[in-house]
Amino acid sequence: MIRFENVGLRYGMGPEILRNISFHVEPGSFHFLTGPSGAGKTTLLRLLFMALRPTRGLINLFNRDVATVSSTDLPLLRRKVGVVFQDFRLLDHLSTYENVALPLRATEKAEHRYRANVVELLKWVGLGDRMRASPEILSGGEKQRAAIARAVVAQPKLLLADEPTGNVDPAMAKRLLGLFEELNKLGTTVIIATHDVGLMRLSDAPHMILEDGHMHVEN
Amino acid sequence: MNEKLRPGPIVPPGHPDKVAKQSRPGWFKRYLDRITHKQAPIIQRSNVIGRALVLVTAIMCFLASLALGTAWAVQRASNAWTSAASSELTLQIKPVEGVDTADEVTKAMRLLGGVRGILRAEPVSIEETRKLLEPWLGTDLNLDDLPVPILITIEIDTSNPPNVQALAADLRSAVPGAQLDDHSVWQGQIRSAANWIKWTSFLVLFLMLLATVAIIVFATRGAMSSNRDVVDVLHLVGARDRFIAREFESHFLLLGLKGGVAGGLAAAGAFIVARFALEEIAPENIDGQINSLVHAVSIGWTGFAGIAGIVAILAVITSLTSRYTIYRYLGTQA
Repeated sequence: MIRFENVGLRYGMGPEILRNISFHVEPGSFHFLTGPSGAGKTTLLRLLFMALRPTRGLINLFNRDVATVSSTDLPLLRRKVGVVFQDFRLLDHLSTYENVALPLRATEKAEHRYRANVVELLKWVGLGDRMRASPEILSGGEKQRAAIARAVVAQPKLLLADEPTGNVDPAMAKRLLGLFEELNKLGTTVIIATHDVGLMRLSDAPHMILEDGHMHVEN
Repeated sequence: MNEKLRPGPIVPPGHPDKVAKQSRPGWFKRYLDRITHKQAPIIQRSNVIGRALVLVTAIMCFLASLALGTAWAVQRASNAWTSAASSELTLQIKPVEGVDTADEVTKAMRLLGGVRGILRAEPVSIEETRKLLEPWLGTDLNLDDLPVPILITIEIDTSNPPNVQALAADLRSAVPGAQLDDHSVWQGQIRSAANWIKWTSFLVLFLMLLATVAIIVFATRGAMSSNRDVVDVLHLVGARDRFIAREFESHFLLLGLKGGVAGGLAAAGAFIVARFALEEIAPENIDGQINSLVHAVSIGWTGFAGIAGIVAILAVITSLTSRYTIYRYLGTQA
């Protein structure tokens, strides 16, 4: 599903943030992406959801070389990837329901075709009674769950989460991890970027560790 | 609350098994759903740029409608004046020493009576001549002391007009001092002035539309910049450029329509007020030329249709310009 070969990335004329990154992720697998702050976890996730292009090397996603993906096909490829951002990136002028439904709305489907699913998903993540609320008045944990719901609502093949437990207490973190594992059992490939050691101990998923721009995998 | 989070044995949302069980609601239910569950626009509708754009579009539409209305009114007045003038000739018989002017008038009337294409010929009476000269020479005017020419107004059949040049030659040979005026010089001046005003108005209209385009470009760029986060999120959830462009385009189309309708209504109101104002200031027994002008300012349904056309053109320009600007912006973002 994901194949990185000697991928390198630098911003402008600066030093390489990522150097010779090579790894392979099987469909339906569950991985933690970890490493010290500033190691390049978020940058690697941005490469995975095609917000950045590598300076060198090959990235193959869903059997497509991302360097050759046209701007017309890029949205179709992105629809296969769900992303939970560290800062949630919810739109404050939309309700929680509208934020979660956004990926489906962007596919230009009629609302009646997805409303029931979105409502059910919101209930599933414990936001059934907050659907009409603006994200501005949601708590950190509620925002986190709304962001997760938005990432999974279109049933992506790949789910990327950047520090998804950074704003919640350990109990809530455990619940969220359970939610990711449940999605993984349904066939979604999951990569969680985190430096929360406690969270990683709760799962036996392999760790992709980024250090000094290099990566190694520990099972 | 935490209990709610526990993933239970429910079928995950959107699971194929679940989707298959859903039946498509009927058209009435879908319509009802649409009006009762209307989603908020993705682009924020009310902000400073939006209000300023509505105001500017309203002003542009108002001025453009005035320019178009002015061109139209001038053209109508010019047509009315030249049309009235082209159905008439004026014969002037100047006093000649040693010749009785009254005899000359009789001779001229006799000659005119035998010409095919002349419907009516009538000398202007002494009383009417005095009234014509009153504004310049005052009320105590004794025309007997002045060598005032006699005027004969001739109404011609415009569908079968006489040969004016031949008639003028015949009159000159039969009546010394006769001079036939077909008003062609005056008509040419009127047409020329009307054309000049008309094309100037069209140029003003074109420049205003051009200025509107420039304003929309700046407003769209501003809106795109202030909604950069929204655009980024839309891209990341897999929205195509055309979807994003449509969201912005509908936003700007609505703003353009709001401003256009406001400006158009103001322009229509201005023409109605101008019509009544002209009627108020005109003398009670308004003559033909003033009447033509008042009539021209009354824009009628055709004029309202023209204003509606300006509103529609402005809305379309707003929409197309914003679409073009958005695609260019998104192109530079890729």
